[in-house]
Amino acid sequence: MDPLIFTAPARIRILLVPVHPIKAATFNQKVELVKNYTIVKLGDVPPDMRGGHSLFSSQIFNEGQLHLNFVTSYEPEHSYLEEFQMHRRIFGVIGIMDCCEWTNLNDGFKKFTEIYKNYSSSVAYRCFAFDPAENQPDDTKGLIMIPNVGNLGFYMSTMISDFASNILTEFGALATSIEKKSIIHSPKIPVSNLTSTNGSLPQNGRYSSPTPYYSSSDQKSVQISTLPLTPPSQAMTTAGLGGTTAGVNLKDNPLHGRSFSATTLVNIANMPTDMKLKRRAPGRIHKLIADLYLMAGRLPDAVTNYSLAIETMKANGDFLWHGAALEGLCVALVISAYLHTDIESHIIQSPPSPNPNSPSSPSLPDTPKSLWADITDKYVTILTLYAKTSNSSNNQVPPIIYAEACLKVAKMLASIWVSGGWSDNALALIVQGGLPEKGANEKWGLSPVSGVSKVEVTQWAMKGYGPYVEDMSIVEQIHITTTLSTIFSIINLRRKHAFFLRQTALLILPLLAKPRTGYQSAQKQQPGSDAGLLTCLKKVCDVYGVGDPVDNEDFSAAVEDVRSLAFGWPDLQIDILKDALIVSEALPDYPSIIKYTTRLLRKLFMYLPRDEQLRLSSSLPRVVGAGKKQGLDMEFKYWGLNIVRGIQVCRPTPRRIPYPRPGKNALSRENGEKDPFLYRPSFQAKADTVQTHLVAKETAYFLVTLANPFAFDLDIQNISVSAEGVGFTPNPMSTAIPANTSVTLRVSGTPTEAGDLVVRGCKIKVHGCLEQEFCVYLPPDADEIKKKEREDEYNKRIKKCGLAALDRINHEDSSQSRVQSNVEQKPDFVAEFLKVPVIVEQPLIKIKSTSLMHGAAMLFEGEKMEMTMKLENVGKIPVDYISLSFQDSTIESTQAILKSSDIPAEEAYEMELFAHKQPVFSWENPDTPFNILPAEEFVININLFGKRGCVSGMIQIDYGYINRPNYVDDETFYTRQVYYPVLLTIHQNLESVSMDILNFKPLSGPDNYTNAVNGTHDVQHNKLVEDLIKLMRWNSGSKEDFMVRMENNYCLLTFDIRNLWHSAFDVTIESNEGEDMEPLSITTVIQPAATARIILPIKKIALCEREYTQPIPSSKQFVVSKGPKGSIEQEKLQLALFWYRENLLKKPSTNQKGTVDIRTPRLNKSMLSVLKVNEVSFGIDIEKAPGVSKISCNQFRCPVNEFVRVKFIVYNNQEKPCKLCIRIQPVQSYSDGIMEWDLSRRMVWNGLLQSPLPNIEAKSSLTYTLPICFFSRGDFKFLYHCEDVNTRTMYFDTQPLVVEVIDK
Amino acid sequence: MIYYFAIVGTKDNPIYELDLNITGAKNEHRHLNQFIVHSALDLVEELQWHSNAMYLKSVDKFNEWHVSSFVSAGNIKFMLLHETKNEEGIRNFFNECYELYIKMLMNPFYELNTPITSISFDAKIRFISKKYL
Repeated sequence: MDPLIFTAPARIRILLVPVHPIKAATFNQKVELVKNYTIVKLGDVPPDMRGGHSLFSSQIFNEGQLHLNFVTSYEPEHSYLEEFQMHRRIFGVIGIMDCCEWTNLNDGFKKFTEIYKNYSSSVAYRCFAFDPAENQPDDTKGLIMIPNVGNLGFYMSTMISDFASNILTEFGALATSIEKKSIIHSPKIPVSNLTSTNGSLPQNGRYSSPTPYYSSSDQKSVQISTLPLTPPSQAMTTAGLGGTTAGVNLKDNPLHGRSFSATTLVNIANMPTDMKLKRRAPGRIHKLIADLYLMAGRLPDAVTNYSLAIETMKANGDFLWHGAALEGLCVALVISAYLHTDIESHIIQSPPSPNPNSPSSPSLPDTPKSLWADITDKYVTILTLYAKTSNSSNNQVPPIIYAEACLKVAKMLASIWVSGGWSDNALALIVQGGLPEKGANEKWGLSPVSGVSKVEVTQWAMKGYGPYVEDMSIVEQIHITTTLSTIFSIINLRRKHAFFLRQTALLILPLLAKPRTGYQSAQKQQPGSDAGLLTCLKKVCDVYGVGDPVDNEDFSAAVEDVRSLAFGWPDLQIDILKDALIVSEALPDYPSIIKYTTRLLRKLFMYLPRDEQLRLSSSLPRVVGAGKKQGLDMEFKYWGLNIVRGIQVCRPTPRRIPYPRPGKNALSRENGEKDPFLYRPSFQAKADTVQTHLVAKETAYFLVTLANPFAFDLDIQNISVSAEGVGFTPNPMSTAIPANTSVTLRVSGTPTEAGDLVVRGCKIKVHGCLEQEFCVYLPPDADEIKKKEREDEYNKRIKKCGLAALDRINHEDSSQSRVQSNVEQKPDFVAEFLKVPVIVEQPLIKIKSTSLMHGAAMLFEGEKMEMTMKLENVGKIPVDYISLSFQDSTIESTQAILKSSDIPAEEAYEMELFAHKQPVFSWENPDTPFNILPAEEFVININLFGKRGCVSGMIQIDYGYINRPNYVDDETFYTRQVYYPVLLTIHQNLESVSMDILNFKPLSGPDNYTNAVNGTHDVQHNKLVEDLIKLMRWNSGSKEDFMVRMENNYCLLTFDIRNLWHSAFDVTIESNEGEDMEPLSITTVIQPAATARIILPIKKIALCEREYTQPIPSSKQFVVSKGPKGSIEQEKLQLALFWYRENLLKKPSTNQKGTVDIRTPRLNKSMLSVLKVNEVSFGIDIEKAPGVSKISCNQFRCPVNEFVRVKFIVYNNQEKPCKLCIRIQPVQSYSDGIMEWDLSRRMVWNGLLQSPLPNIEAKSSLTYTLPICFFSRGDFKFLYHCEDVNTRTMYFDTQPLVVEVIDK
Repeated sequence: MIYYFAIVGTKDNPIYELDLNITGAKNEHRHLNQFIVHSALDLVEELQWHSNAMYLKSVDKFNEWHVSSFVSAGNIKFMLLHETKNEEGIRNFFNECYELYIKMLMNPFYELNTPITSISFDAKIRFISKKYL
């Protein structure tokens, strides 16, 4: 029942007592049945049969109603108020008896009579015997059998009406006795009732007098307490429980005996009398009578009497009673408004009309709307009146009366507010009590319709919670706090509601703790009452932001986020949760303890000191243990924040990494030339984002990062990777995370088949908790983040947390459609899990041994060597594909130079050649297919080449198993790699330096000729050439043949070879003479640190123009040269230099056990001119005649005074015909170097010294013959040249023609 | 004289708290103060719609304590728990606090609705509290 209903003074309190034995459930059921008949219309009440005392006859005011207040408990604490406020009395007692439990109903009735005797204030009693059996006689007087057949409702209402009639009759007697009194005392708070004494009260001398009286009643109370059926004192909260816990509390309450019956009042009257009191008595009597009228439903009479009382009291300043009378008047007015009766008419009819000037008179309620305002005003007066009493010594208002007055108004206003204004609904709420339906008004508290603001309600309510409340007894405090929380709940002030709910819980707590310690083991727990308290706590937690929704929060967010996004006031939240903990411990309710402990730890750990956290966490196992002892299912989930912060796949060791390759068909195309482009825009660099593949049936490792934000260690009993998609066998492990740290673990598992493995996260079993899966999502990509930002922007406009969100959550729960749309939306937000491809089983190979010692080899530059490598298949499947690739230290450095610097094309070409065309390693791919079965060995041969500057190399073996069953050719397959590093030491042994190319006409000089012919002594400067040439092995033909051939087509290549090593080398130098001829070769021994000069006759090179003007080849992408372009001639020269050198280098090749690089020398311009076959060249001959002989190239001997025919042969080596003009200039040279130009007397010639020649065809020759006769002896020289008629280019021979003229 | 001043954010979260114990009396009610201020938020939310002024005067009374409130434009609530009525002084106090808070807000490193940890802010609030309360 509503504890503080506004119209309480108009209700007749009737106690329902169980007549034991009766089952609690049965009793409760019957109580509910009886409570259906709370309102009895006066018209239905049978008139009093005795007729004598018709003062409260029901027949006068027919519209009236009797309001019966059926209670199952009685509060003896307030018995001192019963004289002052009559409605606090028990006017009737109804016993409830279960006939099934009794054989003889008479005995039952006797028992009821005994019970009834305890309530002396009661004026009427009945005993209802429910569900009588057929055989039970209905003969006991006063016992009313309620059959369970027939029209029960009608029967019951008749019975109740009868009972009401009885009470009304007794009211008459009561009124008579009141009217007889000469003195009526104000209520006094019994001293012993106060837990702490109010400062002003002990000074009150009168206080001591009632005490002996109360002590006498103590004996009674002891006697009563032996009865098991006495209702409990904490009636407000455990009303439904009947007598089950009653006996205990009674002992605590010495004031159980109710006192102020009519007889006991006489005792008080014997106290020292006061004239003032006597003077006040008539007014007080009026008030009491009015109270009775009010209860009897006789509103007009009540109003009249109240008015009289008020008038009298005002006159003699009886503030307390004045206020009380006003309160009664208000009630009467409200009820009359509720009944829609016009009291006015009744009042006017009645003779003692109220004084219109009096503020307390029912001042013409014009419109119903003003009534509540009127009442509020009246209550302001009442409170003022009450406040005035605090100064008076013996008429002080009891705090409970004051508080209740405030709360009543607050509640009335709240009812009006919730019903949206002063209406019938509001009135019904005020009069009948009960919980209001949550209307639309509640949602928008701003509605002006009601006319009542929440603030007003709050002000009234808070007036009722003054400092004096602390001085009240606990029960009273609970009474007030519950009422307050109800009021605030009605007007939807949640924080205030929660505040008072918490107060209530804290007040109840000591009451709870006491009985539990006593007989906890003996008695079975009462789930009902505990549940009530726990629900209460739950509500409080909700409001403070630590309610159940907190448990569902996504706690994967980082700790920092939790702090900033949190709703609520951390200090208060901690307090609230601790309160909740204390209460649940007192009950004790183990699941709640766990719930609140974990919530406290998870939500607020950053605000808790370390030892607090330790204490809480260590209490958990204890609680679980205790709970298990009670047979509860105490398994609970891990409660903390997400432990797992991240998970990633460990890259396997290099030799286990599988590399994807295009299908077999593509493979054959693959090993072509390198990509010539430096930069390709379409090419995506994937260096960093290399996909990690896992291999089926091989253990994979995951790096799991775990974090513990708490101040205590987390003991993880079991952690394993949780994955789906393909079969996966995790290997669980255990660990501990120290406080406030994060650790990274390597957790392993084995995928059992190929496919996509989805790594969901980790399954973790924290000590004492259930195993739980912690998911780890991939961080969203840019698009997703953008999308989320947009959504956040939208969501900012909707409250998600805080009090406003509570409504929304409830709303969503109720409407199914919303929920479904929510579900539909969700996939947008679902983050991806880490996905790892798992590929089919792969073979595994290891290098068992190699022929190298310690993986190192020493080579001379250019030396060739062979090494072997033995591989072993240590995997489970065969290997049928092997591919070797190599790297050496030179490539990288040259590549770097090539890329970076702007070197001339010629140099670049050299470097490229060096880097790529001379591999350090080489390997012959076996043509025949092979298959290395598991545990088999395989040998491969690798050639090594000593390359200058190379210090190390790497042999990379890619292998795989391609020809699996069901393999499609184009399918991507995977290979693994094995690396074998080789340390190389390349010694430079031979070096070629200072190259030169010389013109060479063998035996050039008369001296030489003599010597050569005679084999006698050699001239010094010619000797070397001869010696060196002798060194050559003439492989084909004789030396003389060669000499002849050499005449025009050869030049001399000379260079030094230096031996840098500390042992001698045989050096063979070969010159390639063309396809059909053996190469010329020179073999020599070069001692350590010695230098040998090599002279090699080589053929001159003829290159056509087309050949030597093409650009220098390069593997590089063509880049337009940046430097200033030289003149065309320069360019031409450059190109010519390059190409001639290229062709030169085609010729000589050295070899021994290797090849020495002789590419180092560079040509210069003069060398080129020598090496080059001239476009136009000359040959000289003198026609055979007696005495004419050839000494050497261009040197002849002929007799004097004889005609000789000198032939000038002009060769056109060009690709085109040319027209030339020849000029010949003979001179005579003396041995002292003087030249004689005028030779007209020394020689004669027949022809022109200067003459145009006929056209010479390409690649042909023409002979110009000049007959000459020398007149004198001596050396004659002929200088000659040709000039191109068209281009004016002059062509010279390398040597002049020398003719030695001798005597015959 | 006991004053308790709190700035409460939009999520019922305290942004700044200050216990002013001017007479040096013992203050064992710190938690109770917080509870009272928290429960008064209900009334602030109610009253802020009935007034154009930011200063809402005394919004709640708990026993002998009054709760005065001031609501900023951004729905940040300044709550002051006090024992005696001193409307003008409290109005000035709130206005100065608001100015300080605005300055705090302009700090680019300060995020809305997060606790204010600035020492100078604290010192200034203490100063103005001495000035007006």
